Formats: sequence, C-alpha cells, structure tokens
Amino acid sequence: MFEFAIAGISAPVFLLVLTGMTVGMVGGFIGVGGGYMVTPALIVFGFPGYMASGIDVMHIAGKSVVATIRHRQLGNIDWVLGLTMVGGTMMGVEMGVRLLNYTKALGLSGIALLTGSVGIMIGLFLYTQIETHKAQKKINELTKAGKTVGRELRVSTLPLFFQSIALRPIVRCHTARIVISMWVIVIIGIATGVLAGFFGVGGGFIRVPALVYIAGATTHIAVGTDLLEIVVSGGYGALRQYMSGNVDMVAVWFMIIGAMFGAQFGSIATSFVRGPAIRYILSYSLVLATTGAFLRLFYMLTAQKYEFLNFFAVVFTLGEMIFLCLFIMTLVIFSVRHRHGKWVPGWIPSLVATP
Amino acid sequence: MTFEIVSKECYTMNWLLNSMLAYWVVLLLFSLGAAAVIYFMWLKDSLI
Repeated sequence: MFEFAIAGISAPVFLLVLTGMTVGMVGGFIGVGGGYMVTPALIVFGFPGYMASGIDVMHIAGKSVVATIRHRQLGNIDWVLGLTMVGGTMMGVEMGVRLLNYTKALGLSGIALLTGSVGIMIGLFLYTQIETHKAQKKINELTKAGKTVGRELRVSTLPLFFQSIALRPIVRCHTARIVISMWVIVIIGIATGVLAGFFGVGGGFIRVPALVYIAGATTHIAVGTDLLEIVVSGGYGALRQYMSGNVDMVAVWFMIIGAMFGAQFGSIATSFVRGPAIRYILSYSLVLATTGAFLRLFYMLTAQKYEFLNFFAVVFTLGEMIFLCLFIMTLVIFSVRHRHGKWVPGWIPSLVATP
Repeated sequence: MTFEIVSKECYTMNWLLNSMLAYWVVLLLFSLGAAAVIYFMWLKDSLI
C-alpha cells in the first residue's frame, strides 16, 4: 500500500501499474482512452470520484502519446483525416458539455446520461458484432475459394453512402484511401465530440466505429487516427483537470509506468491481426463496460443493501480489463503460431494477418 | 456398408477447441476469477 498525499488515501501500487498496463494495451489496440474502464476502477481502489476522473484524463493524455507514436511508425495515422476532424471534435465537446448543463438544469441529467450511454453502447455493440461476424464469414468463404484476403474486410455499405455526398471541399485521405467531403468528417467530429462532452468520456469508443462505418477508413487507420485525436482532447482535458487540482501526479506516474508497456504492446499487436479482430475486441469492451455499469447502478438503486451486487460490480470492473488484455495476447500468440504453420483454433485464421 | 463410430466426447472436445464462443466464456470466467482473487487480497477491507 502507498500513501497518496494529494488524494488522501492509500492504495495498492501494484494495482495502479496493472490497471495502467491493461488499459494501455486495450487502448493501443482498439484506439480508445479507456476512461470508461479506468475511472470506475480508480473509484474501487479508493480514490474520490473527481480525482479518479482527473487522474484518468492525465494518464490517458500520456498513454495516447506513446500509442500514437507507435501507430505512426506502423503507418496507421491519416493526418489529413485526423486534423480535419480535430476542430469539429473540440467544438462538439463544448456543445456536449453545454447540453449536459442544460439537462442538469432541467433535472434530467442522471436519467439522460444513463439511458443515453446504455443505448449508444448497446447499439454500437450489436451493430459492430453483427457486421464483424458477417465479415469473418466472408473472409472464411474467400479463403476457402483460394482467394487472397487483405488485412481489412468490411461488409457494411454505409461508408459508400457517406462517401457519395458531394459537398465541396472534397478531401483525399491518402493513407486511409478514402475520398470524402470535408463536411462529413467535420460532422463526424462534432457528433462524436457532443457525445463525448455529454457523457464525459474521450469518445474513442464512438469515434473508431464512426471512422470505420461512416468515413470508410480501415480499422487500423481508424484506431491510429483516433489516438491522435485523443492526444489533442486528452491533453486539453488533462491541463484543465490539473489546473482544477483534481490530479494526484504520483498516482498518474504509477499508471503511466504500466501504460508505457501496455500501450506499446497493444499498438504493435494491431499488426498481427485483421480489422475484424480489432472490431470484435471493441464490441466486447462495450458490452462488458455496460454490464459493469448496470451492476453498479443496481447496487446504488437498492440503497447499497445487497453487498453481492457491489462485489460483482467490482469484480466485473477489474475482470473486463484482464479479459480484454488476455484476449489481445491470445490473438498475437495464435497469429505467430499460424504464421509458423502450427495448430490454431478454427476461428483464428480469419482474424489474424498473414505476412 | 461401413459405420464410423465417433464418440460424443470427441464432438464436444472439437467444439470446445474450435468455438470462439466457448473460448470467450472460459477466458471471461478465468478473468473474473482473477479479479475476485485481487478483490479478496487487496480491496475487500479498503472498499468504500
């Protein structure tokens, strides 16, 4: 146990490093900041709510720089796409915060937040899961027919619709290999920024699917470009939180020690898998985070009478991070085995990249 | 006519090894178990 003077609590250092490492790995792999996993975990460790949020944003800013640098080396960042979206994202975040204050004034913010976040997470989970499953089946069919399949395959036709919108100026995103109206990218930034500002999250879990299913970028490019966005939004958020006194820097350093290794591994792991594998992990993180949130909510709504609900909520919060990490490590191990011609489960070949 | 007897256990084992859903369930249970161990070892007494 370590005494955190600014937070005024003592917490196990090993758990902070482990949390930083696991969420860093997940964040580097699926392109999210991980706030929806880290903040509840820090509250479980004993940090006050406002400080959990501040520590989380600060660590996200640091971790996303590490992950972005690695993704840039892997060629997964489209600078035109990212920089076009940044302005819209910042504007959207400001609009989202104002919307939150408006619903708070009406006395609806709690209900609106919960209903909205659950609805969006479940909707995203279902759409991503169904589309990715169809993409995996198509990869299997093409492989059986003897055709070579690249690292990305998507069956959704939504991007074709949005790419056909001919509002000038049209931007050519060379790395993402898309030609699309600038206004579509800006509106994606605004929409995802509003959702992020309203729910108080980084927005990666909304932006990555938006870049894939609306802009039409490949999953790897969406992950890298989204991490670039998080550097900007996370950096600004970290500055604000630090100036408000909501950060215990010692706790942040412990988390970043773990995140430095985790984010590197997660980013490099994307080069071992195909796009559907990343989308599967993203959808699992959504459904597990929603389940953990539900358990916490039931515990609070039952006036904290049933201790087993609290136990399950804590175990789910920690367990989902461990599960996602282990799944990512599994994919990498099986990818290496598959390349060397060794046995792998039947569902692996369609998810891993061939050299 | 020839008959090939394949045991139920073989089918079950094959499904368990090659099913993504089965792997998902086993891994989740393992992860939740690890989280429960962490809870009892470090967090139970200090939880708010």
